[in-house]
Amino acid sequence: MNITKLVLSLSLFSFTPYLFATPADDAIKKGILLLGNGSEPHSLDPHINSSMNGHHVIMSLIEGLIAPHPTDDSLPHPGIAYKWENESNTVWTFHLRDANWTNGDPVTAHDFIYGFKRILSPRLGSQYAEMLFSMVNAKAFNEGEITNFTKVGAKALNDHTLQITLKDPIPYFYNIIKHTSWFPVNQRTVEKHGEMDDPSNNWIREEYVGNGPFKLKNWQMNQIIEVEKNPDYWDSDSIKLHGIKFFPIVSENTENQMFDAGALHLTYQVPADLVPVYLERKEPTLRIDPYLGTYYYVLNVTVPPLDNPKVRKALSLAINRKSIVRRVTQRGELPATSFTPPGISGYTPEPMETFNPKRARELLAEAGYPGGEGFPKFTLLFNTLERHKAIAEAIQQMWNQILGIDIEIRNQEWKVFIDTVAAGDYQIARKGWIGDYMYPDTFLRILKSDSGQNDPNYSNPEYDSLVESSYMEKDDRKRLDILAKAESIILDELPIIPIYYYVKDHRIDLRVKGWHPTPMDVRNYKNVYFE
Amino acid sequence: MSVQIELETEAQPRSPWKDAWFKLSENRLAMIGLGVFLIMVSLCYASPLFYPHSPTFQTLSFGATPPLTMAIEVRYDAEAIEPDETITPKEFSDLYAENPASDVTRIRDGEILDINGIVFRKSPKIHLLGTDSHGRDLMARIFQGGRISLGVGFLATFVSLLIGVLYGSISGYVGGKTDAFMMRLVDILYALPFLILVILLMVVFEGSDHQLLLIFLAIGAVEWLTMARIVRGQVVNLKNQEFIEAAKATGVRTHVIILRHLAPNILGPVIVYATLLIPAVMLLESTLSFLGLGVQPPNASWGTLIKEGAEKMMVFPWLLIVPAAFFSITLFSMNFLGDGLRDALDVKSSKD
Amino acid sequence: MLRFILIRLGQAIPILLAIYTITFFMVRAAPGGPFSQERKVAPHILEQQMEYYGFNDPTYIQYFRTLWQHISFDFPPLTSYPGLTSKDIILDTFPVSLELGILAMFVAIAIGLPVGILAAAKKNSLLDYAPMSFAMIGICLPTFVIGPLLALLLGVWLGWLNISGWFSWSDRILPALTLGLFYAAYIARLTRGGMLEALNMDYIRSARAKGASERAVVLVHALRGGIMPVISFFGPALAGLISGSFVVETIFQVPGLGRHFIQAALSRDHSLILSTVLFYAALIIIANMVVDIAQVMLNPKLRYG
Repeated sequence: MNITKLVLSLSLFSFTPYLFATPADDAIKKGILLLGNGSEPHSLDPHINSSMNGHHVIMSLIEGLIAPHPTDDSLPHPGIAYKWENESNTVWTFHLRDANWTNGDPVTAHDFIYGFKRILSPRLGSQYAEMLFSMVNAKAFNEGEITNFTKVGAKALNDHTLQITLKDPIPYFYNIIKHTSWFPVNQRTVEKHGEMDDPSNNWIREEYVGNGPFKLKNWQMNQIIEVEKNPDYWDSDSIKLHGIKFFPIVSENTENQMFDAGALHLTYQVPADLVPVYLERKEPTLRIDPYLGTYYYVLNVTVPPLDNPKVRKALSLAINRKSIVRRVTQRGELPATSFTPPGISGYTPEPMETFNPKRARELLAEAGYPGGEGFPKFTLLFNTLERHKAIAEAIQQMWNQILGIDIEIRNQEWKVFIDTVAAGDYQIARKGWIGDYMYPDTFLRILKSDSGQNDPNYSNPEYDSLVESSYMEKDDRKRLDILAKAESIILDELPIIPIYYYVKDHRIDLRVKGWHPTPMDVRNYKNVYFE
Repeated sequence: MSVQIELETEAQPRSPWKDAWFKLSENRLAMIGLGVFLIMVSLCYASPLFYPHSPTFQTLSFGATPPLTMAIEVRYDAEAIEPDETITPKEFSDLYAENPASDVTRIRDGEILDINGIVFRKSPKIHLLGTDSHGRDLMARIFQGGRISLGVGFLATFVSLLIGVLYGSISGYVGGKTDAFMMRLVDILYALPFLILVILLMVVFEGSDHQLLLIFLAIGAVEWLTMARIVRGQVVNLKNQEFIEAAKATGVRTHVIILRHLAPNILGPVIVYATLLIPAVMLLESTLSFLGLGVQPPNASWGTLIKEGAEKMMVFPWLLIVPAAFFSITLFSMNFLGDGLRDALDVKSSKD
Repeated sequence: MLRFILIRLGQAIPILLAIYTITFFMVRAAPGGPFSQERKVAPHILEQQMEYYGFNDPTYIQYFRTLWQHISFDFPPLTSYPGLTSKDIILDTFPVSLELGILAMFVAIAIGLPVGILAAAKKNSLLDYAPMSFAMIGICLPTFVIGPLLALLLGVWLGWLNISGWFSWSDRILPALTLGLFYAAYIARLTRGGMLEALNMDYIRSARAKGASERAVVLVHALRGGIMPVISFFGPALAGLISGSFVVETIFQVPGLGRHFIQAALSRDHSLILSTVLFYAALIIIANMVVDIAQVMLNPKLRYG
């Protein structure tokens, strides 16, 4: 063991006594935050972007009606709207404050309407248009069934009052509209650089006009995105940073080395193998935050023997999730006991039974495969990534040892994998789902039989009607209970086998303050400051 | 010149191959190379016969241990034959031990400890080179990976050698329009997007049992191009040398010229490039495996082991060092062997 | 020579056309489309995107339209970077890759060539074995191992250089060194092999017989022939170097073209794949032409073929 320690201390010898100030020190003096941001965002257009990295940048440049709450993602926080009220959770009225775009135009209710119209325009082909489908007629407009936008449930009562009418009551509507898909854009700017609904309209690179706490200063592909404090922001006095530099660093090892060399204040991720080492030595810069996401296996329920719930349950009970989290993934994840991750206030689904080898064997025998005898050979599919491979290898052995079944594991390149799963040409596949907003529905709806995201081809009328009925329920408490009941069906029938809940781990310079752990990993940068 | 060679052959009735072998066996470095290489190959291929560990059996609780770490068997029930868990001394002292330091020593000395009804004893299993992150024996994985990598490396190199040398020498020797056409074809093949080609191959041969053959195909299809260019350059250069022109002028037949005069002279660069190609091919294989064409988990190859090791080198350096060492030693020995072979087959230096 | 260049450039047209055609159909045949996403897109959105990017037209129309776009340098919008075209990307990133490639090539030649020559001249001595073993290690340790190690040493431990980025001149050192060392190893081995071959040639014997100094024999006479394999290797290697290296650009966060070759393929951006492939093909054609010219210059007996 001593050798290991020696090697570890050598290889992790991270704090060289720098005689000169590091870039991070200099940046703090200038009030500039240096952030690792994963990879190059494909777009910074709030209506076109679909990546998390893009999302992080856009959140600094444009502000929606509701801003991210500094500490709790379940709560609303005033953004452009300073107050709002609703009528039975269906008709929401937002009162807008006086605010300006960076080109001097005032931010009005019409800008929001324009934004809604733009993202819903069929020609724009926005992937996130469906985020707005809770609005009356939004879906019909997006699908081209109606062309008159005034029929859609969004109305500017005057310049400073916006009214949104929903199809069904949504008590947590303020959480949904925190998403960039609900953001306004500046009409004058967008139309100066092209048509409103042209996906290649390049206003984001030509002239980025936003209304957020920061404005775009410099954007070099695969290199840096630099934003600086927006002096014309309505609340500019409370912005503590002078700027943020987002570095799209793909390699997590490089990013970690940069942090060690004092070139970053905050990393996007931590190399998985280093997390246990840092935990062991109580590295103060390591932060493991909860994240609203679940890692799971999808079972194609149309293929025998996976059409048999007993087989599915046996497979699930034979997975030692604690062992996987502790020995394989090692990022400090929590073993999953449900599909919806914890953290949504008021929602506590009945946890499923996790590891029980004896029961797993019994169930498999009941299904007609005692000791795995006669169990058809099947394949576990995953997209190429070291972590997926490690988990698949571990589960392959667990199923083999506990159930006596022999499976093949196969990896595929990402796009091939997506198409294979979409075509239903698989038996078991690895998947992950990240919630769009803090409500269990963001998970549960994907298993409805009419959902486009229903990979397991699962169909249970009882489940469907439960989820549907929750949409009509006005009382928040009851609504969550109905969803919990729906979830227990999933956890009993297991069209998917939840394995663990994601976490978001990063390394953070201890001088950075106001970076609160939030499960959505979305931040209101104006609250971040240096000590 | 040809007269001189014939005279020599008459004077020494040994065949040129025997002659080459004699010269090779005189070359000490080459013989060491050959010896090391043969040992490596036989270790890899014969390991299932004598090596006790399985390359795929995981003990998650015993993951990423350095070489020769003691394994401790944990039995919740003293009578059980199979241990319930196998753990590291560190985990033992963190979780179970009452006096961490002395308890570990006692177990190391072979004592069977009973702490609160849980029985601990030293495992008879020894992992000479440690274990990988899943607690699989690294040595066993290296042997198994070696079978794949050596196979892929040699077959793919052989394929590209064969195509490249033939193609390049024909193109260079014939010259003119044929040469131009053949070389422009090479240009075309160079430019095609390799990644897309691999993805296509993967789909075309989806579910086929001949994954490894496919790898040779993909690699061979790409790697012969540079070989062809090198051979062609060499042939063009030689074609105009005096001794070739002299041979032509004296009416020596084409195939004799190619075999007697050209072949020995291009052999040098060909062997050198082949020894460069083998490691390149082995590493390329790991890229293909990454894309899903190639070695499927839980199996490994040297390329995938090195790739995995590189990702973990900051924390578990031996996961990189050990496979990289096997890889390098093999290549070194092949290199010395290759250099010796080149010298041995060099007809002209025999006249020195 | 001018005639040779003109002929070669004339040949380039059918070559590029062939490459375009093969790539066009390969990309189309590959599974997974530009719009395949983990979060599946609604069918009507997919339909819109297909229509917008012209995937709904008959294949032959797409074939000729894309061909014309490449001839007229009027590129269509990209699917992976909305708002940009492949021209924007190539113009933006090629200078970076070119700079890195030239620096790396400089490193590779400055190290590889002398080492190879010396090793051949002092064959089977320590001056042969030591550098050649070093070169062998360079070949066995791929860039994804060397790169992070160099970064750890020079960036984290010594703190001399930035680990990633492409801002100041010192940011060029680590990637150029990593990339250059790998090629240096190749060049050293190939030079040694070629030199040994050349030193055995009759014309070297006659040079020696005429009383040329050993130095002149090695550096003037033998090098001419001995460098041939290196030069043959150099054509494609040069094109590869200046069009960027995915691994090195990823490790050191260099905003070069190399990453786009891989990214374009992985995101199935048809337009970007075609443009980068054609661009690379043009580089190959030019590099190979330059190499062929160099070969003729080194061996005056050759004629331009």
